[in-house]
Amino acid sequence: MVDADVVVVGAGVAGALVASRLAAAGVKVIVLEAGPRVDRGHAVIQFYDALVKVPECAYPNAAYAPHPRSDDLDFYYVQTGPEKFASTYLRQVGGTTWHFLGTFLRLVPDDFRLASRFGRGVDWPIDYGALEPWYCDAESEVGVAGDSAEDLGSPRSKPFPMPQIAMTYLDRQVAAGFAGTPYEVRTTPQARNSVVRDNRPPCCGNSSCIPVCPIQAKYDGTVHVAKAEAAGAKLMAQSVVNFLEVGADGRIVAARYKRPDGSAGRVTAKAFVLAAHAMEIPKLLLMSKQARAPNGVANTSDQVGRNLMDHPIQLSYALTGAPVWPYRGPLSTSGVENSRSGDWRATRPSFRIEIGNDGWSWPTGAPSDDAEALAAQGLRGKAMQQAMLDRTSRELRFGTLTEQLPDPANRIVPDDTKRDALGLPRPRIAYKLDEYTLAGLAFARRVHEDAFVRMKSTHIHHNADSEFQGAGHVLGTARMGRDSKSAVVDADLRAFDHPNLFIEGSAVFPTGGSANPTLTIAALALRSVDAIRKTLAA
Amino acid sequence: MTVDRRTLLQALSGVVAGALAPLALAQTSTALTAAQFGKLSAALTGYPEADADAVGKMMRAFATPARRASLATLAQVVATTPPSDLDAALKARKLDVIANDLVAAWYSGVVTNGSKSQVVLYADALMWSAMTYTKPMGVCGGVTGYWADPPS
Repeated sequence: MVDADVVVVGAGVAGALVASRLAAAGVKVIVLEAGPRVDRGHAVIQFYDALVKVPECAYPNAAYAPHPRSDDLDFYYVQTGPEKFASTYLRQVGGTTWHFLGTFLRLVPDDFRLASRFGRGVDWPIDYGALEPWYCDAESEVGVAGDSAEDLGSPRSKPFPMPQIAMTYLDRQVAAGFAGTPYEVRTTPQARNSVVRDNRPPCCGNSSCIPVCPIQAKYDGTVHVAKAEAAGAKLMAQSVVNFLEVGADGRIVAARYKRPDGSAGRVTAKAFVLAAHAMEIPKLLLMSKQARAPNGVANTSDQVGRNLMDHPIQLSYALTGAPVWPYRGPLSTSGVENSRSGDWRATRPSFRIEIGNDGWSWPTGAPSDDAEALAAQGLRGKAMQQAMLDRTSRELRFGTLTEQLPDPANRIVPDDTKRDALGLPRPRIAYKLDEYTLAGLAFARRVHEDAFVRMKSTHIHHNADSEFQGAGHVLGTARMGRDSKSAVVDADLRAFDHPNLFIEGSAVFPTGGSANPTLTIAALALRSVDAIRKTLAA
Repeated sequence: MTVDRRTLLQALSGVVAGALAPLALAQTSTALTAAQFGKLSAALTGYPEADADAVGKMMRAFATPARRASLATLAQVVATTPPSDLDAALKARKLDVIANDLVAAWYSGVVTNGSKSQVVLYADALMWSAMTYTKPMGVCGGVTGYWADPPS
């Protein structure tokens, strides 16, 4: 007798979607989440009160389930270099979608065939056509606002379920700035309500999507956690899974977990779904070394924890000649997408330009830092007021996401010498950028510079290579592929080594393109449900 | 991200304010009332006096023992000096840095004491008042799509 049909580890967007689909089909599901439930009101207040308003600032950082911090990349992460891995994630009910931007792009067809088309990286074991129906399913399930007349290089068989989010005034000025260049500014598909949908309100432009949407107009994983629970799934928060037991037949038989007080528990099931994001999944698999899995669970390929990728970001900012009125609307509503594929991918990476509506808040901490800097110049009274208005109204920021190739040396492993409050190993990371990605950062700087100049900008600043930013996209550490020699899971996300173990999320991406990954995570999760159910039937 | 610049700025302002304290103490030992602090703040920021709650929060955070005497002198100088002469008067009395720090605190909502900074005001920070075209981040801005047009 088992405790559940399916145990899902992780209550983020992938785990919640799988759990809700399975529970709705009558499957008995237990979801184990390492972190706590989060109260939205508390998160908003914590954001207001935070001195450094990084993506994690709105949330508790539990000692029993710590998460990395953008403002201290050595907190929790054990970084061995040469570069510091700069992307983070949350461990709480709802997962990292609490502070994601909401951008919900599909990959483009070429992203699935990087090796065969451009001689770089590896191909996916599925092509765009295999995932397209699931993209539609995920867009409908989550709720995406977009312009159905613009496929952005990703052919679609169904329209977006909601009308597009309007471009900001700033977007339209940037579009005019790019006029005459190869780069087209288009509205971004977003998991953000443009109309009332799924009992959630439309966006009212709080302009705080990162770190928290105060009204949940932006989708987050708690939407499907609630649906899963309503359908009968049992959620166990504050349950940190630390070991998977492998049975004699190679199937996973149980997950062991720890509670905040250090006490231990164990759950058994017919199938197990790991949906704990791309750092904690490989850490768990490698922590679960045992006689039946001497190299770690699901790791005969030796690829678990390897091929760690991000979308390293070139951040550039300037003061435009005329006001563009930032700090209004969602944090990003448009971007350049026609830069995501071309024959040049043999030599430099796919990239997309995210246009920020948030002034210089990302690179400098504006507008708070603007106030401090202007006051330090001795400005007072009306002069100070006018200076704040003039400066902030002209702040423009581009963030270009670049593709990073899989490199087995970029790796996360459990650090047995550095442990958290529960005594569990922290993630030890080796990470570097290669020439391919660096070429993308350099190319982005030139594109940014051209647009800034066209907008008669001053105070133009481009972050140097050493100042690359993380996109918040942790990818590749349990990749999917065609065989157990080179990959961890198959195209159905089933571990080659264990027929009842499934791995969700961006950990399975063989390559990352340059699109924000959450829609692809959601589509793959929904696609995997059929295989999970067949496993139960067998 | 922003930490290095912010930390540097805050550290610098803390060092300078700390260095001023002995001089200021020598000038006066008169304690500032909340009403005087409110008036001083209004004169320097160019905005009407904040409500008593905001003034109280700011004063508790900013008017540390090390700053109190300088603040009292600053209030006296600001109250008795014509605006056109104020900059010169503050520099002559070496009160310009603490005045700048007070303006920075009201606009940013952040008070720095030595190496420690804290958010004292968020939505009431005057930067949002100066940014007349918008509202604080994390506060609803209007109907969906209001951002498509330039501010009226």
